[in-house]
Formats: sequence, structure tokens, C-alpha cells
Amino acid sequence: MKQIALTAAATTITAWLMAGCGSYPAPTGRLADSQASVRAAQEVGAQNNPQAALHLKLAQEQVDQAKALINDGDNKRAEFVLLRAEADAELAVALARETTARTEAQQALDELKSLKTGDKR
Amino acid sequence: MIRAYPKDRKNGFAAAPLGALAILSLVVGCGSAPPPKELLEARTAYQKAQTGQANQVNPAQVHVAKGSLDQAEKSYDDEPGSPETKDRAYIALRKAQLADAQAGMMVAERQREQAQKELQATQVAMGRKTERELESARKQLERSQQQLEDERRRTKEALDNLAKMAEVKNDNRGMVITLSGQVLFASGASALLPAAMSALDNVVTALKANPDRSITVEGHTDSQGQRSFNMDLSQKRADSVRQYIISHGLPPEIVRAVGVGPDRPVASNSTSDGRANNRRVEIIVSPPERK
Repeated sequence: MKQIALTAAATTITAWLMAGCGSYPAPTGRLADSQASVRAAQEVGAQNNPQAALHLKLAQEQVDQAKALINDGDNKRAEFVLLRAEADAELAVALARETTARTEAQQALDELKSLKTGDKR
Repeated sequence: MIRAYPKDRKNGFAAAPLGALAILSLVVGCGSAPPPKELLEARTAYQKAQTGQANQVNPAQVHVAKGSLDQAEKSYDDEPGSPETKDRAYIALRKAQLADAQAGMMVAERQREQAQKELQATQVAMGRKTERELESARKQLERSQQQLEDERRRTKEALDNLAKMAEVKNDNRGMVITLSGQVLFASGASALLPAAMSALDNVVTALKANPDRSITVEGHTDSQGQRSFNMDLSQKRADSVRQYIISHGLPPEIVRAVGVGPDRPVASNSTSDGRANNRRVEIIVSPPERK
């Protein structure tokens, strides 16, 4: 029991030392935000639109990369990578919504056109 | 990094750019890294957002993108080769793309709203048009029913009037209207008398309702006088009647005129009453010929 506690303490200290004297806190809030943004992108169907899917994938990869960096104690890099992830996820949301809006607009225009054509019959 | 001007340049103003370049090189720092790909892309993307529709419909997000790009540029100035500079440039690029995508969505939404508004207006207009058309068709129907009714009434009145001044009977030839020669013509003449016209007007009115019938006008005389004269007179009288009724609206192709002369008396030619009855015009209305 004691042995385990000691090992854990040693690991923590090592991580602190690697991160540079513990000066940079782990970006847990930023990580949560980025993950929320990724979920939002999935909810609007970003995976169904090639362009949006690309940015969703980039966001997911960067979130994973950031987690690895946090594990390695590189919190500062992790924070930046999470900012990149969030920017990609936001863009994925916007691209998916843009596609939906364009499709809906086209449907309305088509409907209008067919109504007007039918009127002339 | 700094390209020197060619040495053979002798113009005086070559010194000014050289000086500017020297100062620039001091500011940027000698041997500074070239702008990372991300920064170049971010600049281009921002330029696109700033000059395109995004600036009109989504200026707030374009402003955010500008802030991001400024941070990236500052980072590039301060620590050109650092990963953070790349990160900031990458984020600036995404913010500019975001402004564009959001603008695209806004424009599409406006188009959809506009189209739906127009769609609704068109549907309402079409509904009104249909209502108007129905109303107009209903009125048209009412009018034609009224016209039909009027026509029936006129035909009946005409036949009633006709019955007062002519004999109307049906035999195997069809409906036969017999007009007395005394009513129609002066003695020996074939010009219609004024009284004849009102009688014939009633004939025309009654027959207009059945334009598909065929009509034969027969002139008849008594047996007095020369037969050739009577034949000629009966033909002329039948022609006069035919002329009158076709000039008042009956189709010429359905009306035929025949002079019969004294050949088909309806009464004895030995009394004056009998001769008066024989001097007559018969208008025979036959049903349409079956094909």
C-alpha cells in the first residue's frame, strides 16, 4: 500500500518537473469546452457533410492530441491545441448549418418555381 | 532575407528603399522565420471574408476574425518560429472561415424566408384567382340559363302569336305553318305587305331556336288565270318569303323556296272562299335529316 502511494507521488513529481516547475495548470476547463464543441458539431450532423466532417475530424484528433499532451504534462501546448480543436469544431457546426440552410432555401425556391410554372398551365 | 539592391544602380532614390529595408530588417530581426503557411492562409481567408458578403451580413464575426489575425501577426512579430504563432494563425484562419460559413448560412436563410413569403403570397393569389374563376363560371352559367329561359319564352310567345295569324299544324312533313296569301301579298304581286312582316317575324323567332331544321317555303295559288303565270307568281312569292326570313337571321342553307302554283289546292277553286284558302304560303319545318 505504502509502496503504491510512494510510486504515485514520484510519478506526480516527475510530471511536475517535466511540465516546468508546475507553473502551467492543466487546461481542464478548455478541454471540457472543446469536447462540448465537438459534441455540438456531431449533433448538427457535421459528419454527414464532407467539408464539415473534415473539420470535425481535425477537432477530434486535436482533442486526443491535447489529452496526450496533458498526460505528458505539456499543459501549455495542450491549451493551444484545444483552442485549435475548438475553432475546428465551431467551423464544423457553421459549415453543417450552412449546408442545411442552402438545401432548405433551394427547396423553397424549387417549390415556388413549380407552383409558378403550374400556374401558367 | 534581405535582398540588396543591385550595385550598379546609380539613381539617387535607390538609397531610400535601401534605408527602409534596413530599418525593417532591424524591426523583424535578422534571419527571422518566413511567415508560416497557416498565417499566409489566415491572411488570405481574412481578406476574403473582409471583402466578401461576410462583411455585409456578418460583420461581428469578421471583427472577431480580425482580432484573431492581429494576435497571430503579433505572435509572429514577437516569436516568429514558435508553435504558438502557428496555433494562433491556424485559429485565425478558422475564425475567418467561420465568418464566411456563417454568412453563407445567413444569406441562404434569407433566401428561404423570401421564397417562402413569395410562395405563401402566390398560394393566396392562386386561391383568390380560383375563387374569382368559380364565381365567374357561376355567373356565366346563370346567364346562359337565363338566356335559355328567355329563348324558350320568346319561342313560345312567337308560336302563340303565330297561331293567331296563321294555321299551325303537324303532318307527316313536319310542322306546317300556313299563311294566307291575303295577309302576305297584294293581288297578283310578290312584294310582302307590312302586315306580312310581323307574321314572318314570329316565324323567324320561333324557328331560330331550332337552327338544325330544314325549312321549305312553298308558294300556292288558286286555279284562276294562266298556269304559267301562277307557277311564276308562286315561285316569286316563295322567294320573297325566303328572302325575308333569311335576312332576319335564319341560315340561308336550310331554307328552300318552291313554287307549286295551283297544283295542290286545299279547298275547292269553285268558290271565292275556297280560292282564298288556296292562295297561301306554307312554311314546312322538317326535322333534321338523319345521316
